[in-house]
Amino acid sequence: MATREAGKKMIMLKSPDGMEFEVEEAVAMESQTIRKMIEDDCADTAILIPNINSKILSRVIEYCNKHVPTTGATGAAASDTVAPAALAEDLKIWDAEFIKVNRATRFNLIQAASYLNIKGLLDLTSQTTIDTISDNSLEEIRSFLSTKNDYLPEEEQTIRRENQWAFQ
Amino acid sequence: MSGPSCPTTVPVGEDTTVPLRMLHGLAPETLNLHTHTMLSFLYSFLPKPPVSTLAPLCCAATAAAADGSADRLSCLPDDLLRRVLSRLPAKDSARTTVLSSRWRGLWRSVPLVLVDTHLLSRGDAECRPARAGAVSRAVTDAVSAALKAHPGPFPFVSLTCSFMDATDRRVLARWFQILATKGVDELVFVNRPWPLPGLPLPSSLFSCASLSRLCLGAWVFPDTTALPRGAGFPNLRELVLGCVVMKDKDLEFLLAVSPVLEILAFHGSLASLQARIANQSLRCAQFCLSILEEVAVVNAPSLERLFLWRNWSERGRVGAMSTTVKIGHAPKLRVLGYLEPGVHILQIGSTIIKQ
Repeated sequence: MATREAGKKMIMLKSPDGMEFEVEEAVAMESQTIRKMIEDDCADTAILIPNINSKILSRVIEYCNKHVPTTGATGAAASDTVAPAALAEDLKIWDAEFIKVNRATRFNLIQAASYLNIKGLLDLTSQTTIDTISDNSLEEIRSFLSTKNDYLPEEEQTIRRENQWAFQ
Repeated sequence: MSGPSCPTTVPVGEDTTVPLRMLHGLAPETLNLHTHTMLSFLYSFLPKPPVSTLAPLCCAATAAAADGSADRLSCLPDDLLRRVLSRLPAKDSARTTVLSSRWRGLWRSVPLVLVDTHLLSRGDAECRPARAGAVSRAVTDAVSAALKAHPGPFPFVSLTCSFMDATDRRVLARWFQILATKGVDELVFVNRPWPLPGLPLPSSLFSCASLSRLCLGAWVFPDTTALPRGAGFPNLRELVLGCVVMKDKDLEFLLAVSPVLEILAFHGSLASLQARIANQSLRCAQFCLSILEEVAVVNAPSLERLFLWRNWSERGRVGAMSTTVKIGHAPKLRVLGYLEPGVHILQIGSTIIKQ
């Protein structure tokens, strides 16, 4: 249900486990998926967000709340102007804290960011995974990603040879 | 100068491929401080690569790694894994091919960002080898292998570690053939020749039609007279040329075959240049630290800014080093600088301002 509070348009988001979250429209529109629904007038009643449980959804909303561009006194639409350096630095620190979550939560956040199409959150969650990959040996990466090596030893050798330059 | 008592500037344990004659006296690169200054200047203005070897969030990642969960990452759809791969340095992303069969084909399906400083062993990134030798050779070979192994396209390629001389012409030709066929969006290519200017680029550079941004340093620009019809840069928006040797007619040709070019910057032209600017889309032109006889803005309807800084002319007698600046058709020109009395001669239409 779209309601009004202190002059700001509110949107209701529902998770599949029945929780409801009332958020400002501008915050919800950080998600390109929700933005599209609102712009297409499909968002009169509460929006059900499938596949994202209330725990993850509340984290996503927390992220969007922090990252929604500050609007002017007139309540104009989100501006595209670059945030001042101090603000950007503050956001970076906040992001680094925000992503200090366990692996399962992080993967759920990647999926949620992907479904809701929130570029900043997708970048943040992918980057954290990347940092894991680029900083560790292959065995460590396999164990971190719980990826099972399904190659035969000779197969693995062939693949290593194909891209030998990357293993030097 | 090369007596046995001369202290050597080559540290012990340095590359043995450096010819013996260089072990006496000064190291070759110190003989040309000008070259060194120009290269440092160029490096400081290179476009930043979209991926980095720095891992600012790795602490967060390892701190959170202590829980035991199933193969979560492999549950993600391929396009998300591709997204992860696209943000990794080339070496790290290529290594994921041995993780498991699921990962094998992924690397090839993600456009590759190739930055040769990322190929240096860990800790050396951003620290280019100081001289030609085993390290620079290994990087050159790894670049060849990566370009060959990946099907492209290459959104960003930055090659600044190689010392290429006449013996590398075939490698050079092969690189450009691959870049032209597989597609490259942004290319940064700075050679490390000594002495400058080094060798000419292959004319197949003009076959890289997908280029939107090009930054060349310490090369001789290819001769454009024999190019096939249709050669050109239909997508090129930004062009930076540093420490290049270029003929007037080649610049004219380049401007003529770059219909969407907006920015042109010369950071050091090593051969006397008479620049004739005729281009419909060019908005900003900059010439600095160049041997520049004349800049003639003949027809540049979109040109807004023209910058000149610390250029000199070799024409005429010593002391008369002025660069002539001619402004013809440039209706949108708003900024023109820095004009120095006695250094520049400004001609707008038929009015000439000398002092």
